[in-house]
Amino acid sequence: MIEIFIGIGCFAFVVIVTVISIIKRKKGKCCNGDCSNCSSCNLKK
Amino acid sequence: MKKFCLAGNPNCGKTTLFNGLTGSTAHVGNWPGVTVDKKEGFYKKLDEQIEIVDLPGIYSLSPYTPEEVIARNYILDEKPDCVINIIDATNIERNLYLTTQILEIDVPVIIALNFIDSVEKQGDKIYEKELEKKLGVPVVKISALKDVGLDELMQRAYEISKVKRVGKTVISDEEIKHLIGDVKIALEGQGVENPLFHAIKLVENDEIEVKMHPHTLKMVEGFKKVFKDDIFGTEYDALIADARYKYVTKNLISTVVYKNPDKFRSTSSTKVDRLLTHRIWGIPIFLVVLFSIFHITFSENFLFLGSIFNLPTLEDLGLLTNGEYNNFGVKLLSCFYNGAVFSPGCALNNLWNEIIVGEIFGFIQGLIEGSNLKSWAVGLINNGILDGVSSVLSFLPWILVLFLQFSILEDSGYMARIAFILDKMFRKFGLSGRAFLPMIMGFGCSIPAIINTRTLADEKENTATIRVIPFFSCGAKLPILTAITGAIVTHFGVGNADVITFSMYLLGVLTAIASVLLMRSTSLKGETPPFIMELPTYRLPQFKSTMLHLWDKAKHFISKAFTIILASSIVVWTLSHFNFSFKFLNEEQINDSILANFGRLFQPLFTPLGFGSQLGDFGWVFIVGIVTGLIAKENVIATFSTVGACLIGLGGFEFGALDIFAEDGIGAVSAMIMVTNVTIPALLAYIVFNMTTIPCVAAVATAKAELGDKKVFSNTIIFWIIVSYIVSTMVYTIGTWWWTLFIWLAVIILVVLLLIFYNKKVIILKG
Repeated sequence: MIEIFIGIGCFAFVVIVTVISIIKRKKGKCCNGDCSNCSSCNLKK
Repeated sequence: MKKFCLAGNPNCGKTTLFNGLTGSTAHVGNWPGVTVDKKEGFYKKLDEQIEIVDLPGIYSLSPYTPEEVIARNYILDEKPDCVINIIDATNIERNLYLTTQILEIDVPVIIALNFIDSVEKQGDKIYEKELEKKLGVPVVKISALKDVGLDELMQRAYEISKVKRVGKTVISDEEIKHLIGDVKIALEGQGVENPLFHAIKLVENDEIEVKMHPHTLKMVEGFKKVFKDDIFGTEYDALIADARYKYVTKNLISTVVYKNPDKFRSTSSTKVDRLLTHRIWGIPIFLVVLFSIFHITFSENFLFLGSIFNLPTLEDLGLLTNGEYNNFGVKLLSCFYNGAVFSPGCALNNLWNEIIVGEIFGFIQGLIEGSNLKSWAVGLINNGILDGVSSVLSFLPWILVLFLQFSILEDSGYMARIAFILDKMFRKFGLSGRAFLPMIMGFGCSIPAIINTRTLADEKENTATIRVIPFFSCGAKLPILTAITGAIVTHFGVGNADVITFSMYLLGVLTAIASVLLMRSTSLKGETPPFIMELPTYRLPQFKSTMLHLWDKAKHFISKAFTIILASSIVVWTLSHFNFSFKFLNEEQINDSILANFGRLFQPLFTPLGFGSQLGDFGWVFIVGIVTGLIAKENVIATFSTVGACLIGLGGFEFGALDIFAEDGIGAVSAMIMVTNVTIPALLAYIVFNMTTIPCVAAVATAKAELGDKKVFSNTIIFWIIVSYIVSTMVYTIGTWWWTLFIWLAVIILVVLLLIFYNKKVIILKG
């Protein structure tokens, strides 16, 4: 039972990270770069 | 909510003040042009929250550069409640030129005299009350670096933001004043906001104003015909600039009393510059400084003490029994010393890995192994999750030590000097020294570096610089460099980690230079713009801001390890443990996995580079590493670790003697070396390929946005692939068969001759 939970948890984690990354990028918020430097980044506009 | 903006000359400390007011950690550097776009943050110490906007540094409100347009448009269009004009108090005369223009806008203005600590240290004095009276706006002495006067500045800015202010000009020449007055009345009649500012700019023949007010322009032109100045003729912009400087010199400079009034006095900065910017010694000194940085970070033989004094190892001292440390104290000692003294970076990294990461992750992995979980779940957690994350985390101290030193160099003002020293050399390759500054930022992260290329005036120079920035190995590539270098040193017993790492960095720089030379003599041909930049004074980096910068770097690195790297590791582990029939594979069968088949498909392409088909069964891991590295470069080693952990569990390979742990990136690479028999030249070629090929997805997106043109962008991607392929092949072939060096030299000479011939032909055809 716990293995199924681990499997689903890992799958969900991968999906969530991917979706958040895509949403942030679409919204124009850069998440992969160096955020402190990216405050002036045009991806944030 | 009220909005205050920070405006001032480049390198007068705006971003430092912005960080101080808002608690942000935006990138600061001691050279002009670090900020290329506006930044926003909040000041919360007043009755109401204030939005602070940091504008790029500008010398005037005329649209000479994109930064000046951004700053000007912001002040005019966004209508801030107050403009905080920051002035470098050590260079007040030139800074006040911008002030005279800001004062013409109908907005509350407050002057912040920054670096007041430096002024007082020099024994100079500024009478701020007198300056306040003459300018008609409040003046506050501050030191943004030392957090002095910031609260008073904000309090007074808040007070004046409640009162409306009408723009005032300092231009006193009667005839020009008359002309400006007439234009102002005309603009007021048209309902134009900030009429005084627009009127002056229109008289100056300002590019933006001419387009905005074509009808009024006719009236201005008509008046100008009857008005002609003896000195400047019809050059009205020069006439007005002269009037501003005259006003500053005549009326405002008297508020400053210099201890040593000699304008060309020899400051400590100029004394240091005599050595550091020496025309012969400048570059060798820079190379020594750069090597010292790598030596302090990576050397396992610090200051070569081990070799000089022939120091004994821990085993020689009898502190090891059967290869194990006698006690915890010896284990602790082994982080700092073992036959040689480890450099600070190396010692910190050993401590981090042996005492913290190794122990914590080892403990968790032990618990998982001891549980009743099914073997696949144990594999997923231990190899897929924990090994992937810990292999990346294991490089954190090295990254921080390296960036601490780069940060000190940036903050001190030395990097700006290097740009000047390199200008003469860069010019021969078709770039100005200014291009060096974004390149140096590339050692930290390619993204801000690519954005910073906006400060380059020429579009073709800008494109060429963006293309070579990824060759300046960023922090995310450091795990690839250090893990493979470390594995070469420990596994083959060859060379020193610091020397190999330094050489790889230099190879990246040389590749950049050669690429620029090639681009600027073919597709991106053009004049190299002149390089004019104000040399910043040397400043001692502040402990707090440096630590904040490092903390930000660490936070970012750790959060990336636990999100993108972790997710990628899970995907890598899953794809390496399932076949196309979605049947679970155990460790002996991973060569039949989806990932193995995918990697094997592309393996032949990399045979000339030394890590292709010749590596046999497990060689596909190298190819998968390249692909996962496109998401984030740290993934390369995380992939090695995730698969390497499975290999360590396999029979038939003798790993014990090497003390390999997959959670340590170096161990994972060592495991791959053992199972694939990959050679040193192939490993070096692999480093070079990852360093110079397409950067991570975030950097690619930034490059796309900055380059704009789709064709230029797709050419850039092709350029990265071709360059990485050629340079890696060169490294592998020369490393394997030394005589191929002559073949490569012949090819290079042929290319150079073809370029000369091509350029001559073009000139003749044009002529």
